[in-house]
Amino acid sequence: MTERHLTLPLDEAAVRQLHAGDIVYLTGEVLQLLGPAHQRALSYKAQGKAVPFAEENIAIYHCYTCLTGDDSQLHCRFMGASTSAGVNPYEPEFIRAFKVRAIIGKGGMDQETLRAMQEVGCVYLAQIGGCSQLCTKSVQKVEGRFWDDLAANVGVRIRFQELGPLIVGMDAGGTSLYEGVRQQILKQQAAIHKEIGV
Amino acid sequence: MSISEKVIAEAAKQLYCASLVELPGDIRRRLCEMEAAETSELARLQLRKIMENADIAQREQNVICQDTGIASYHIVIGGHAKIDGDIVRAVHNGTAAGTRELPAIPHSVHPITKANSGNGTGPGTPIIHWDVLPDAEYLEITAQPVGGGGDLCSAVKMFTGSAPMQEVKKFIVDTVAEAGSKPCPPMIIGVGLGGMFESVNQLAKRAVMRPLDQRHPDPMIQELEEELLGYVNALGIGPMGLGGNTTCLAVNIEYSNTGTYILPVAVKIGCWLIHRKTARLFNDGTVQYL
Repeated sequence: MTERHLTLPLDEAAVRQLHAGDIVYLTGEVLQLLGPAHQRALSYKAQGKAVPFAEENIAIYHCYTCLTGDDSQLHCRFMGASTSAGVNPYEPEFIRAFKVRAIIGKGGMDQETLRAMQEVGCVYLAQIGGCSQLCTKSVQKVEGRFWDDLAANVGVRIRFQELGPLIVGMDAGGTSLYEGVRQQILKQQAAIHKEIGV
Repeated sequence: MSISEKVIAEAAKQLYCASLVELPGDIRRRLCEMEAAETSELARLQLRKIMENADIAQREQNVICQDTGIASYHIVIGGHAKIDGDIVRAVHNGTAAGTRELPAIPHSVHPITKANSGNGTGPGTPIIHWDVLPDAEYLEITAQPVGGGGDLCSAVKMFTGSAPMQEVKKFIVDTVAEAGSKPCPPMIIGVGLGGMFESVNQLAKRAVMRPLDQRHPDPMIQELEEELLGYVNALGIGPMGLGGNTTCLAVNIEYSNTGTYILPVAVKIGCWLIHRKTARLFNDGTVQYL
């Protein structure tokens, strides 16, 4: 397992050097962005309206954050990854529209998303699910939030120091650890069916 | 001498918060055993980090997982317990106070409008399961909040009474295979067998709540639990669906009699983190946290 310590923002060349199975620690600004925020950003882009974040080389996080304090000084009480599968319908278009370089989440994403990642140069980084404290202790600063009306799905700009370990689950070369495991599961499932006698 | 509504509300709050912060000892022990037996280096790293994360949560008195879920309680009313006040109101108030003070992310929303009550409570939430223990002189409350990831992958199927057990086993294995990486494996699985539609999910919930070091007392059910655990671990899903031998920490089964013509089966998928914290409340107002 190769361990890499990276500083954001990442460019395409840096992303293409990462391989499925690598262990990554990230330092820099990441956007909390779930499904509803993806939909809004895409509709703004279609209308030519500005979004409240950089329009390329971004790193996004499928996560929920428990924030305290007010907009002048936000504090992250805890945060952590949410299941990425829920964002599958919007992610391929979003990756292409905003040149996403890294997606942090848990559980992996579908083949359509993998294709967009390969095309644009983007990696999927898996947080160890349920490990809220490992992420929370890496939060250096909550830079701000946007689209408050989305309630728990609000957009949040979070600066991390050495967020990790994150596992490269899907790389820009088109390798997905999840797909490999899925093929293995199908094989095993057939063998188990036979053993059960169905 | 009685158990006041105020004491119940305070206990509900403490239990709710503690259940989100403390990793039950039996789960920790099982994670540790499985880490030692795991052959994938990536899987072992993740299992070690899961335990490290739980240690930090305990030390910082902060949540283990960001998905603080929907509050649920199992309440056992002792036949000799004297209760002064409204238990349901007390548990609602305790949950709202815990959500605010811990704090937890309030997830209770209207199913259609998605309007969020903002305090983790609302019509039907917290969920409350009731039991009566005629000889007991206490009120026992277990906080058992439930996150979304596992429930999204859970399933119920109504078989006919003539369906062979092989079909039931296949359904359970296929439900786990389909869940794959989504519910934060290693999973803890509760299976409900029998009853009717209205009760089979409760059996599965009860099964998933049973400590991992307690096997079912019926040898036939015990054998089925072990057989199914072997199958699901052979799937190779591994921690977080990234491969390995550690797919499932336990398969627990609870059953009840059913009709001659039907066989309901419920598979409750839990992630590696089953929240559970119990206390007994006595008539003299004392509270014993277990």
